Amino acid sequence: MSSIQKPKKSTVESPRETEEPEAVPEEAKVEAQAESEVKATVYDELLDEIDEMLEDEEQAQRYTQLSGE
Amino acid sequence: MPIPRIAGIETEYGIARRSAATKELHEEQQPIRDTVRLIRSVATPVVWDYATERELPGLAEGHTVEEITNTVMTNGARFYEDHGHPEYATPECTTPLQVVLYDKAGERLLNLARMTANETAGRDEDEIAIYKNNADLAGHSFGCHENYLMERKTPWDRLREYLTPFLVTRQIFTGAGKVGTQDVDSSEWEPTAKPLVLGGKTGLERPLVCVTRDKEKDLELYQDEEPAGCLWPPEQEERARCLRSPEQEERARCPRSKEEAVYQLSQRPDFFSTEEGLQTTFNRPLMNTRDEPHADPEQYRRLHVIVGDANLAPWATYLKIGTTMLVLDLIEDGFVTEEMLIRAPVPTFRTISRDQDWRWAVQFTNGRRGTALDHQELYLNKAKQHYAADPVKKEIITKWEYILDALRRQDVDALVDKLDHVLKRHIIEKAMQRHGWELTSPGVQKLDLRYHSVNPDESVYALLERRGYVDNLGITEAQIVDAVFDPPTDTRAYFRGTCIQTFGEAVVAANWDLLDVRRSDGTLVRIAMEDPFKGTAALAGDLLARAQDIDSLLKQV
Repeated sequence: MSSIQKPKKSTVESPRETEEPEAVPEEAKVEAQAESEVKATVYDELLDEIDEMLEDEEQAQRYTQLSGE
Repeated sequence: MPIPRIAGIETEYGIARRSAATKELHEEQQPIRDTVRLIRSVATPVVWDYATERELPGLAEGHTVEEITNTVMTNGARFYEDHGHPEYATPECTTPLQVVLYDKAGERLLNLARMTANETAGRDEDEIAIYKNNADLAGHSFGCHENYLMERKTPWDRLREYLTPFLVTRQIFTGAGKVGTQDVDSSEWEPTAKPLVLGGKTGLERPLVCVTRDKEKDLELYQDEEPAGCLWPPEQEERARCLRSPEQEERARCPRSKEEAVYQLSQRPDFFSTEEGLQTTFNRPLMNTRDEPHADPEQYRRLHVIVGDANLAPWATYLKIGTTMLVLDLIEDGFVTEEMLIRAPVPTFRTISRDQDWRWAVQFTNGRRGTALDHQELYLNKAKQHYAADPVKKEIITKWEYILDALRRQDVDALVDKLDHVLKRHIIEKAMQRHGWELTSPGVQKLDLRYHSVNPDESVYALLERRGYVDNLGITEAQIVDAVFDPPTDTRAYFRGTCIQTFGEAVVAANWDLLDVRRSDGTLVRIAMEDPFKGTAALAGDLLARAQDIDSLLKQV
C-alpha cells in the first residue's frame, strides 16, 4: 500500500465491488466485473493523458514563490 | 432576521517563471515583475482608488496602461498585484452559486492574462505559469480570502466564539488537498525584511500600489517612490523575500521525508499559529480582525475569513461560501449554542488536516469527545431547523447534508466529483499504483502542483473536468465567459462594471464604494456607492441605458 492511507472504504472500487461473492447473484457479478473493466480502461486512458501532460521538465521541487496575502 | 448577505472571494494565485522550451523552472523567480506583466496584459484603463481605504489623496489621473498594477475589470472585479502574486477579487455577489461563477471567471481571466503576457514574449523566452493553490514547497503560503457583509450590531466576541470552531472543522469539505506537511512556526520570522517600493508615480500625489497595510509605512514608501513608469530593479524584488534562517527554511520545506509525508485535507493549517489577530502573512490567526466594511460602518462589518483553500471544484467553493453564510445567519440570529464550542482550535485545525484515517477527532469544551462530522452536524441541524423555508438556503442545506452523510459513510464514489481533496487524492493514488511512486516522488509533487494550473492544456483538474469527473453544478462555460466580462446584476457591482463597459476612459478610477469619472470639460467627479445593495440592474439599469455619455449620466445621478 502506498503511503496515502485510504479511508476505510476503498477509494478505488465502489462498495458494490467489495461485497462477498456468494451474496451477489451471478448476473450482478458479471455486471460488476464489466463495470470494473470499463472503469479500469477509462482510468488507464486518463492516466496515459496525465503521464503525457507531466512529461515536460518542470521541477515541482523548485517551485518557489513569495509569501503573500 | 439576518441581513441579506453579500459575499466574495479574493484569490492570490501562485506564479512561476519557467523556460518556454523546456518548462524547467528558473532558478531566479521574478514574481512581482511577472505579476505586473500579467495585469497589464488585460487591464482596463480604470485603476483602483485607495481614497476610502487608506485616506491617501484620491482621484488618479495621468496614468497609462503601462503603469497600472491594480485595475478594475468590466465584471466589477479587482485584479492586482499583491505581495508578488496576481490577485483576483470577485465582484460583490449575493448567493454561493454566483460566487462560484465569478470565482471561475477569475480562473479564466488569469489564464487569458497568462496567454496574452506569454504571447508578447519571444518563443525562446521565459514564460509565466500560474496555479490556483495556497502553498509552495518552500514554506510559503498565500491566501484565498472570503468576505461576508455582516450586521455591525453582532458582538465580535460572539462571532469569534462560534465561527472559529466551524472554520476549524469545515475543512473536511473545503480542503483542496496537499501532499506533505510543512512545520512553519510563522511567529518566528518577519514577512518582509524591508518595505518594498512598488510602482511609479501616477502624476498624482500617491503611489499606485503599496505593499504594507500600515498607513504610516505607505506614506514613507510614497516618499521613496521611483520615477514614473519604472520597473523594479532586482535588489528590490529580492527585498520581498521572507528572511528565515537556513534551519527554518529546511523545516518549512515540503515534504521532508517518506516517514513524515502525508496527504492533508487542506493546504493552509500548516501556516496558522494563533486564534485571533489582524495579521495575514505571519503568525496567522484563525479569526482575522480586519474590518473595512466598504459600506456604512455603523450598520455593517466586513468579515474577512483567511483560513480557506483556493478551490477548483465548484461544489467545494459553493459549500465553503454557502455554509459559512448560514452559520453567520445562526450567529446573528442567536441560534448558536455552547455545545458547538471546541477545545484547542489551532492544534485541532492541524490534526484534522493531517488525519489519514478520516477520524477527525474533536474535543468539545463540555467534555464530550466527537468528530468534525459531529461538530458540523450541530450547525447543520440548527440551519435545518430555522432556514429550510428559504429556497436558496434550503439548497445549501441539502448539499451540506449530502456531503456530511457521504463523508460519514466514507463513500468516496459519492464525493470524488465534488470535493477537491477527494478528487486529487483519488488521482494521485491511481498514479502511485501505476508507477510504484511514494508520496515523496517527484511525479506526485508534479501532479499535485499541476492539478492547480490555470492553463487547461496542462491542468490535471481541467482534464478531469473535461472527462466528466467533476460535478460543475450545472454551470456552463458560456456562463463563465459571460461572467468574465459582465457584472452581477443584483449588487452595486452592476453599476461599477456597466459604467466601465459603457463609458470607457471617462471612468478614471474605482474601488468597492466609489467611482471616479471625468466630465467632458475635464473636471473629475466622485460618485459615492456606499450602499452595496444599490446600483443594481433593477435600480440603475434604466438610468444607465438612457445615458448617452458620462455627462448625461451625471445629470441623472
